[in-house]
Amino acid sequence: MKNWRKKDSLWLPKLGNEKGFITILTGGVPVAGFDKTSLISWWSLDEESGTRNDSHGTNHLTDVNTVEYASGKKSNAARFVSSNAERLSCDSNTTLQMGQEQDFSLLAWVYFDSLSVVHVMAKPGEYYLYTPNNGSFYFYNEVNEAAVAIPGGILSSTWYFIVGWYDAVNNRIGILVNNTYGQELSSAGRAVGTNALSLGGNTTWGGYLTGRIDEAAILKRLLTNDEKTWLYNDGAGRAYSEL
Amino acid sequence: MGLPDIPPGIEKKVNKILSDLVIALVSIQSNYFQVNKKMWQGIKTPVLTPKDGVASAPDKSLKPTDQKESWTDAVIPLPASMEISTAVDVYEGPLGWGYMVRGEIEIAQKKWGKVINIGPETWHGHAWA
Repeated sequence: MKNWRKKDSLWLPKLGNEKGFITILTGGVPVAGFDKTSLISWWSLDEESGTRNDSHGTNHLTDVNTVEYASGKKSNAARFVSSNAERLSCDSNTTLQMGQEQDFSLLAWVYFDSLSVVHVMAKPGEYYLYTPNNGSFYFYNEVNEAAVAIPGGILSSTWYFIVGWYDAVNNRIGILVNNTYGQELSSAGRAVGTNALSLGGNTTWGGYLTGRIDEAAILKRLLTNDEKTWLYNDGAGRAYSEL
Repeated sequence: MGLPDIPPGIEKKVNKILSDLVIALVSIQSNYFQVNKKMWQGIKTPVLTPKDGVASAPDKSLKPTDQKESWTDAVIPLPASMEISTAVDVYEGPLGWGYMVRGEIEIAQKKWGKVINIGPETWHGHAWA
């Protein structure tokens, strides 16, 4: 069975396997997949209130100050109100801490009802996906940051798919928005810490969001370009059930 | 590392504000939860974090957009003026409901925060840092 894999109760041929990246053929057209190897957490954020469960791991998110829900990129999204200091948090643990030699990637869909300084996903002292409300998104590892300006600026009522990564082998930090706008540059290293992970803002820096976050994830590896394209899915995104 | 005691006595003073608030909240939260099936949340006040021991008046009319009761409405005792900002954050997590009392102060251009957790998720709490 090693040349077959099971997906949604169907056995499909495994026709290619390159750097942990699976390719199958559908109607003669190559379709990129997503390898769950080293996926730590995937938050679908479909719940209407309370704890937001980790669809893949055990890093379930505590609802702080009553995060509500709204229509998301896939099913529901978590909806935050900045004036209420609403956020979703998880205690620090070894799965969320990235050692100095650890490749890792963060990804999330974000939608602004109103624009402001926002920490979309942050573990203060270690890593941040954020915007300082200057029309750019940043991925910061407490040492260096990659930044990408969105032509025309970041708009409200618009979904953005953000991927941030740290390449520990080559000391590179990068960010890619909507699979189009990106930057990767050298990074001298990175910091490690034990603060909680938060989505939608944090008590260390504020940066509370008025808007939505959907389909967020953390991996302890780099994504291939094909995987980023597959996850973006021409703007339609992917649900955990599609992985 | 604790809060710099500048001006002298400030740490004791602001710790008492937080501990008095915790004591007051125990019965209030219990009653509020029975009626509303959620904890009472207190928005950060004063909104601008006080600096270097200079007190300012809390705005007790503040309330979250999804809650009817302000600090005044919930009869939460706060001093007329405070050397710290404080907030009450509420949570619902895998272990259940809880809340945390947050204090913030700025001393010598550095922000300090303390969180007292009341509930099952002890990881929210920390000393002045």
